[in-house]
Amino acid sequence: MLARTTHITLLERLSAGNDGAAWGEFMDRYGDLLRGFGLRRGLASMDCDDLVQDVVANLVTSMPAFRYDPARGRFRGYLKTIAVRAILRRSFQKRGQGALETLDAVAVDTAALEETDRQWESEWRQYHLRVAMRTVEVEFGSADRAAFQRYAVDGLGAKETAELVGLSVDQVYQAKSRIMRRLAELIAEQTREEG
Amino acid sequence: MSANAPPSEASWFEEHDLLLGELRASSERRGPLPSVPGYAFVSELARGGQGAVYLARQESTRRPVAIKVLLHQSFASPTARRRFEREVELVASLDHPGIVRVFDGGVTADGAPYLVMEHVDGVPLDRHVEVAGRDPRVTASLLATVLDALHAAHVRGVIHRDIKPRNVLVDREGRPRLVDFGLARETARPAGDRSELSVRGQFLGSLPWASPEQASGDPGLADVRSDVYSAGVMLFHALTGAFPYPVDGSLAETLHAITTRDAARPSAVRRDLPRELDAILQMALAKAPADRYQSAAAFAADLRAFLAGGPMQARSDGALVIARKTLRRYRLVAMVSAGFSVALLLTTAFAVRQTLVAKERRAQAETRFGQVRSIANDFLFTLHEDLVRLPGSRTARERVVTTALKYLRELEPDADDDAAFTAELASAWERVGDIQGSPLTPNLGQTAEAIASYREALTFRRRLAAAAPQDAQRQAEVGITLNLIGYAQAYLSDPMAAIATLEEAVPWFRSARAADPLGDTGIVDWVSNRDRIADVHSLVGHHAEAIAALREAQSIMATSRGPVTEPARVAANRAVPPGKIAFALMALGRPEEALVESQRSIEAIRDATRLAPDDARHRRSLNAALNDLGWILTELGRLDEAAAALHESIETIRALERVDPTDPLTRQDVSYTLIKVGELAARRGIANEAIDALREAQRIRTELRQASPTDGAAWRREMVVQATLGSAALSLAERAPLGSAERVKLLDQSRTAFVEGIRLLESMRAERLLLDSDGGAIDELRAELARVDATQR
Repeated sequence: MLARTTHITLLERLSAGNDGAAWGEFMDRYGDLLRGFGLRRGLASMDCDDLVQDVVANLVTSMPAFRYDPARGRFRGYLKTIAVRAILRRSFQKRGQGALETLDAVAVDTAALEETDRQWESEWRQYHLRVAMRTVEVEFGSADRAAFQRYAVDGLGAKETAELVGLSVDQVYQAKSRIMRRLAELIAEQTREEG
Repeated sequence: MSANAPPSEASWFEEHDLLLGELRASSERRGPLPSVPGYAFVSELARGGQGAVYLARQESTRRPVAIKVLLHQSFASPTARRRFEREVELVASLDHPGIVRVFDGGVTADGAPYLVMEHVDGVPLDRHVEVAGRDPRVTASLLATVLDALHAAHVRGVIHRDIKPRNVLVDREGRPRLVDFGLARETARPAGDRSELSVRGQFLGSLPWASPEQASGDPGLADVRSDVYSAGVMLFHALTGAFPYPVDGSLAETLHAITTRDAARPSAVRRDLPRELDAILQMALAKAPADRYQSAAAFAADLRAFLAGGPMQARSDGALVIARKTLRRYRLVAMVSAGFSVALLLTTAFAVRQTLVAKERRAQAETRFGQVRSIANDFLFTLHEDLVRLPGSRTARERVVTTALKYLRELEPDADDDAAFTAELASAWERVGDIQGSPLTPNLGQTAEAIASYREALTFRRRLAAAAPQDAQRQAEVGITLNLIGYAQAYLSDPMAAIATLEEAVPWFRSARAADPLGDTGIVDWVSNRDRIADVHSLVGHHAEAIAALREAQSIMATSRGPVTEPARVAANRAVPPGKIAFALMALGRPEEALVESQRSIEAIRDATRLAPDDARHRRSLNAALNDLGWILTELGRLDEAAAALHESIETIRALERVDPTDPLTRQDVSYTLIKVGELAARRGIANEAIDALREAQRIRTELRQASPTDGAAWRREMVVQATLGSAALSLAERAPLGSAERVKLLDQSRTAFVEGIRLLESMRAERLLLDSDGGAIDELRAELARVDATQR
């Protein structure tokens, strides 16, 4: 089975400092998550790139001191806090408004908090899907994956899918059930690791 | 936080519908599949910073293809778009099992460029090694296969420029395939896309894999050795999971590390790695391109040598690096000696290409550079040289020339002011001329056409020289091309035109010499020019002019400033002008002066023979020079000295004959020398020696003629020896006492020889081998025969 770097070992490598590959992997994993979250929070596309950099810059300064500790809360909560702060800081700077100390006060609006959490959760699930799909890409051939996409996700008929992809109808059904099962396993594993 | 989390959090992925809902949401985000006429898009396969790759089917053939659509890319100008399309054409010409084939490419209705590629069911190299492990031998073998493919592209003039694990797909059978050739430059990120900006800890796209020359400024300067370097980083990373130096700092820090920090030894990162891999990577990751493997093939060869336990090019002691530097210094000299070889053109091609500065033009230049080089190399060199060895290949060789001409004419309008390309074009024209009718190489006998091709080359050479008046090589090249024209004109029996052309070349050699105060640029060709013009002058009886030109050749040679790498060759070259001067002086009736020059020439040849005793060419030259000396001494009436010279001459050539008794050239020289020995002996009245020598010469020539019955010259040579034998025997007979047995015998021998000579000429006529100039020979021999019969016995 896969010898991928786990989430925990990645965090450990990041906190050890000088590991360029670990940062690369981090960007690979969370870049899209943060960008997607930024878009949902109303940032322009270009500002989303800046958001990613702000978050990474913030993590770089805090990471060497960061130790994974379930008692102190989940990594994803930690990442969300940093992202939210970065978005607010950015919109404040845009509006030419002041001091960063007021940020926490602004963020206390409960309704806004719930909406933020919902959006973060949605981005988080997408993130898990992407990570799991990477493994699926290694484990399944492109025909199986294409059949899964067109039949299971896009809702194309099994027969049409079979013809388009060049598989038998039976193979299309099998591709769907095998990949669905594998995705669920992988995401379960990922969320377990995450703690 | 958990209080606010949605209730389904723990199990969304376990519930079929929820998971499918997320999958659909993800699908919607990606938007609809793009569309390209002629292809049915099946689904998205992968997505990255540059764009997305889709599985599709070509509607006409139903074959599955991968279509890469580059994102956020609308071409700024029609020029940029054309460049992309030309690049696609070039990449599409690559056909190698290790390279993902590109079938087609263009721009979608939305302005996004796309490439239609062979569909490879695989994963990028970095993910492959994560799964398959980092076994050193397996990894080395995998990389060697990647390097084979890279080399195949390099040979076609295509440089990848963005070698990194993401661009190596490993298919489900474990075979690596290279993708995204030549696209790095075309898909450079637009200014507005800041996703690759520097931030500590962030990966900078392709930067960690970049070569020092790419990192230090103009990535367009990358040549094959940049790809070699990036492949080295890739091997390092595949073996260790780390980089040879830190690449996680700021942009400036990373650039600095790439350009200045020596690569770590991979065994320092991973202890169990064999030391051979340290040496190999040390060489692949040398900062200076000149110190690296000079080709992907050399890199691959060392990896295989490591796998097989054989000797490698890479050494940690650096001795090889020093040796190669020394070699480079002498390369110019060596190149001139080696003549116009494939290696020379390739080396020049790369050297010239690297001097290209104009950024905008580079992409275009690169494409055309590749095209010209593939014409020059694959076509004109490889193909023609294979053909030339095949009997009856003339039609095919003519086809080669016709096709090459067609390509060259199509390319010409592109030349403009692009120096590297213009130089390539000139070389290609010269090569076409050589094949058509260079007197110096096997050719198609189309000398007039060859001159026309050389003139095409000349136009480009002049343009290059005018643009770079301080560039010695460029100045000399005009002279060299004029030399080629002049030689061909001389061959066409147009001596006046040849003389004019060869004189026209001289100012170019002069300015080359002035522009290169420390070296010898063009000197060999200048000397050759003087030598050849002297030949032409001699041919038309301008002996004084010939002597003047040869004296010039001597003074040019005396000014040589370069290192003497082949002293024997230098000595042999020194022998040529006095030998020819001696000949011209004889023609002018000045044998005393000729003697001095002849002795000077022989002295130089003796030096060459001492320095290179095994070199047959020097022995052959000595033989010829001694024959000339014998002639001069004979003319001076110093017959004993002449005999001594000829005896040494015959010994010299017989020594060669003993080494290779069947070589026709040597046997020819033996027979010629024997004729000279026989003539002199006859003149000195030594009958036995004269007759023995001439009869041996005749036997050799008869055998040689029988061996090539269609060669008119072989018949003619046999006829000449018979005539000489007849005349020698007659003159000896005339000196023998009347009625003596010796006199009768000599007269009989003379008669037989003349009769045989006439018979040979009649056979030649029957075989249609007789030339107009042979016409008088029969009458002359008949007259001689009549003299024999009239002589009192």
